[in-house]
Amino acid sequence: MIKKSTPHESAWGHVTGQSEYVDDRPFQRGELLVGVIGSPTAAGELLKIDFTEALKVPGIVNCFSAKDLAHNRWGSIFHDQPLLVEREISHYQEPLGIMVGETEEALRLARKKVQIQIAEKKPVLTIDEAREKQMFLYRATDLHRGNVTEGLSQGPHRLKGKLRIDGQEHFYLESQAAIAYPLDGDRLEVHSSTQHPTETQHIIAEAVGLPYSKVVCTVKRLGGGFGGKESQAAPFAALAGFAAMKTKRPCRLVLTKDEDMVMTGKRHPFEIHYEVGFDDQGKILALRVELYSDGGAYVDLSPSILERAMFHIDGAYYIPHILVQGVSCKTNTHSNTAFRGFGGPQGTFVIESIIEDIGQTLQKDPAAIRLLNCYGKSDHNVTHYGQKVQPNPLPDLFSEILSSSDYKKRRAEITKFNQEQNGRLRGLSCTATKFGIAFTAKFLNQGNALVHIHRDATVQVSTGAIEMGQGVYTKVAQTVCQILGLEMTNVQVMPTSTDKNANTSPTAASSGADINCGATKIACEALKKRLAWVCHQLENQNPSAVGQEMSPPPIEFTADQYRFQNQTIENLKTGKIFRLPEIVEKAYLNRLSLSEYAHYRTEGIGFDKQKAIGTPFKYFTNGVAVTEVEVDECTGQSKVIRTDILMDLGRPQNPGIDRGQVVGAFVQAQGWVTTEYLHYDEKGILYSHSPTTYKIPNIQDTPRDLRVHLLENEYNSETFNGAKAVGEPPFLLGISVWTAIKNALAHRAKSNIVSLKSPATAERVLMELQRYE
Amino acid sequence: MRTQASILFYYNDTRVEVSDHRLLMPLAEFLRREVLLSGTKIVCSEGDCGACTVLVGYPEPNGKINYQSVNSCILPVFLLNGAHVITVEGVGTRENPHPVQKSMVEHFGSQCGYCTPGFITAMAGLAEQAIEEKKSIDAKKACHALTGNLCRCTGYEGIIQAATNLKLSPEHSLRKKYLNPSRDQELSQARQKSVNIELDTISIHLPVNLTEALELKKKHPDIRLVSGATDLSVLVNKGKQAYQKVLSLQQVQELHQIQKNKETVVVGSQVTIDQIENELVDVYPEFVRLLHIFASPQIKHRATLVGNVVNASPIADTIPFLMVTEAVICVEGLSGKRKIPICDFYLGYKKLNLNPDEIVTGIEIPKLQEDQKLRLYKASQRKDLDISSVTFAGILETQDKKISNLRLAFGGVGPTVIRLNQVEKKYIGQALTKETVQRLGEEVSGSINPLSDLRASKEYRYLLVKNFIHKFFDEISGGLA
Repeated sequence: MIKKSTPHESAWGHVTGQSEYVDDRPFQRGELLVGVIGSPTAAGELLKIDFTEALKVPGIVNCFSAKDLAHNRWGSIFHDQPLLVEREISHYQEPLGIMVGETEEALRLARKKVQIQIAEKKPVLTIDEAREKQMFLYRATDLHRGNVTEGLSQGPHRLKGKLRIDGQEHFYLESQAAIAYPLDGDRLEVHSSTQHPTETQHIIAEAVGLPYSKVVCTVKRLGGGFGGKESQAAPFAALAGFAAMKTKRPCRLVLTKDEDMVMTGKRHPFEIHYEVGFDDQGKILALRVELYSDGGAYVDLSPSILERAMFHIDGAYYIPHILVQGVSCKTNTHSNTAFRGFGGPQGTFVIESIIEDIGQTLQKDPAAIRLLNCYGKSDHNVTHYGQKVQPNPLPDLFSEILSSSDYKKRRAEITKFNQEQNGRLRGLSCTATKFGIAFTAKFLNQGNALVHIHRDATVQVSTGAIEMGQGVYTKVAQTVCQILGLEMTNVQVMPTSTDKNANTSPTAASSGADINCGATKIACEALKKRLAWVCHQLENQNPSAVGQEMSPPPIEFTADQYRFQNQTIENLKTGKIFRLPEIVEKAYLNRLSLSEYAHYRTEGIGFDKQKAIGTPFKYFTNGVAVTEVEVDECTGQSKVIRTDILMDLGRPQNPGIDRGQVVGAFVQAQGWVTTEYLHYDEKGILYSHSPTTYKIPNIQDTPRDLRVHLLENEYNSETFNGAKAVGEPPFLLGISVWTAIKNALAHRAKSNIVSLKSPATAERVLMELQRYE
Repeated sequence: MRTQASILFYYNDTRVEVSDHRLLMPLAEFLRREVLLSGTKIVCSEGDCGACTVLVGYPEPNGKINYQSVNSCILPVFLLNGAHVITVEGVGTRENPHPVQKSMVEHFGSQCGYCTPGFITAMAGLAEQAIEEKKSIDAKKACHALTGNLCRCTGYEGIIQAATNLKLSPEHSLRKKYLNPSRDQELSQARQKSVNIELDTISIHLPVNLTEALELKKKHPDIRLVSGATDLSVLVNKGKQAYQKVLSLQQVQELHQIQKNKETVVVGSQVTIDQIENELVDVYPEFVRLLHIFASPQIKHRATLVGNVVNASPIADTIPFLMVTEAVICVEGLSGKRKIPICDFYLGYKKLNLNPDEIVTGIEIPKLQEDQKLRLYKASQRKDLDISSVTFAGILETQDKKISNLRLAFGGVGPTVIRLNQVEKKYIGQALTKETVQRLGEEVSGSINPLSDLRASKEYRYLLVKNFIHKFFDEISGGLA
């Protein structure tokens, strides 16, 4: 059952339009809308915000600014960010105040009447400027091994370089949304499109001035999250909650796509300075890297993102002497935040780019350089932070994909094709992902689950997991089914809610299924034991005991000899079969609990931040990709002709869903490195704030020929079901699109080292080609 | 004259007449808020993501209703007179699903589900056509029909799989499910009546003949003509404009015609881009090729060629083509008709050579002569469905390896699309060599003045212009010495 590619539990709701999202909730009588007033400038001082005229607009119920809030600071790591600006404006469209009104029309009219006075300042918009002014949000502890200076001086070859990787908009289709319902007893129920209901609950409570226990945050599903709703859903939910408490009416805050894109944070832009030393074969001897991330206006999750980038700087490759330093800079842009990969993609990007350059320098195929430097199976298998890459399927993955994708043959064809000078250039590249699974903040690696068996033997299960398309609800339900022998139709995954599952971690770091299915398993195992005990009692009862009440199962009792399947329980030793509904009813009548709550913690992880050494990750999810692109030399536009992907996902829990994660992540990353360009002007105003101006891949952009394979019959001993986390790891394979473009350009670069930023927009590609003229 | 003060349409099985403020709502909002069909999603409010896609069919003159996918977030309700709308809820249910729904479930075509209703309706439109034509759906067709739907989760693989593995049979026809002779007739009749509605400061007019329209335009020179509303609705949604007096010609049947003459083709003002793509592929294959990447199917089902021309954007994709073919704008007022060469039609940024009482009724496009070689190019950040950085149109005729006729037009290099008459003239009679093209490239660069904006820098635009010129001559001459 559990290995079956059962469809997404909401698939039928999706395709018939019945799946409900926050803004689909019918309006209650008296419900109000909340409009957010954003700052027109990226930096300055808010001298005055005056709602007098706005309040005169018919339909406007109230307006609020910073001074009205009970508490005006939030942040996942440091509480440095205001919900509403008090005095200092830190980025364009930063929320200054809110209006609460009866109709959209009233809000639209009132918006124009809010009087704002600002003393404008010159914004700091680039990493360079921030460095010059020493505007830093966080400096990470260095990661190092060996002696990098010595290592660099050993090598016959050295390359110094600078790499710029721009940000990326999440472009979840459902923008930030929350509805708050005031309840009696000074309570609030908030429905939010958030990946982190617990933190959202806390921030709402603080903004309103209530104890956490008075606030319930509920999440049915998200119309996409990708990290964009890990921390940044909470402030909008808090503003809705605050408005609801003040007006004593339900309040709905739903951003438009344009508002969402200008107000909320994105993937961190990075600038990386590096120096690499290597030998004549292309073996990397030493690497010195300084990473500068653009954290934007506030800390948010920037420290953890920077650290993950530093952990992933090695990609799939062993680097004997290495020094990695990282700083997160403060600029006057939206506060950058979590986004699928969480710094990992930016880190691995660096080494994959460097390897292309080494190939170009030595006139060798970069794939050969990758094989040469790949982590070994028995030696050269310890990362620069001391974690062993074990088991290590990377060498096998590389050799398998190079052969299954016909790499050698195609490499020769491409060389020939590019010599023909027909206005088109082709490039080919093979890259890898070795993604560390676990939150690097250790305390987040815990979760809980609540399972109820009802008297008709159907089950409700609640966990802290958020369903945002990735199929975690389906996997939770599959877990229940597998252990209790049920069909998917017997299991209902309940909306995630802080009154059932408190102190949960965000659904993030690809860990949603590992943690929440882990907790679900523990709860279900306890129920299984209890039900098996009922069977045991029934089978071993002497007739005179009939009518006596059963006792709870003794500790030493195990359910091992009972098989739960097809709503029956079979004693494998005696062959006796019981019907599950009857056993459930028996358990109830015998006053045995049919509910279970369980807590799960990920064991075996730990990282010493002082010494910068340890085991931050439970395991690695690995994969490789080979991508071929074609570049139009007239316009600089590129397209992906073919991509081969090979992933090791252990023994996938749901191959259909997991394959969707792999392809979806890859295409999302393809957009990141090609067409998704964020255009800011010199005042820090973002001009790409809708799909008209911000181009995510559409159906025509996906690789024309896409071949995805999952390694078969692998087993991951680090998880209870042998599966591996899948949400983020394949995102890093999208880098192969960028390196393939770089590879294509190398055919025209003559003696130049290809210098390309990410994304490789048509313009950047054409301008780079022009440089070789 | 029969006139009515409300509009009539059906959504799924429900009949509705609207005569109040809801007329100005985008259909998506009407569905979500007024009739609680929240399956239809609103994401971008600008017709660029497809989450709000529904199927809309209007009765054709022969009484038949053809469903087309449209973006309901930019389709105001007042344009729905006589229409049948099918929403995701109307495509099928869990109990009685449509094959596209089944297939999307089986092929993991949905993840977060937010874009899914839009994909379902667009795919149902494709399926309807396949049933009608008894044809199967291959990946190319599927991708083409779904170009206007963005998905951020799946990478589209499951969706393409779903669309190419449909198990269709005639009983799945939505037309059969919803239409019957009496309903057809009711909708046809609604469309044959003029609509005139006054609401506070707003007036809405949908006349059924041109004279009526011209009278209205004369009486209210400030009346706003609305065709597909694919641009205007965006401005309204984003608060940059508001509907006041509006005049739609969509019920004027003659304006929906493409008239193929011996020397020219006349495209009526209500002719959609989709219609041109279907009906003019033999006359202007190069133009139709460009239209494939012009916009999404949803937009092309609504947007008109005349709308694109009158909207006068400096990066409008169709205008360079019309300039080099030397198309003529046909305008009409109560006082008479005028024909204006398109090169004289643009007076400045979004300023037209058009009198307040005049209406553009169509565009007359000369057919190409046999030795006229036409090329149209477009560069944009994303190939499909993106606003151009630079657009190019060129016509070249050669005789004895010399240029005998040359016409060049560019979009995206100034406040209007420009035709380079001065430059062209100088090169007539010149030898067709690499050197000539090199010089021409330099000269063209010297006569344009592009800006840097969010789509492209000035430098990139210069480079594109030069490259397009080279590509143009290379392609036509088959490589220059």
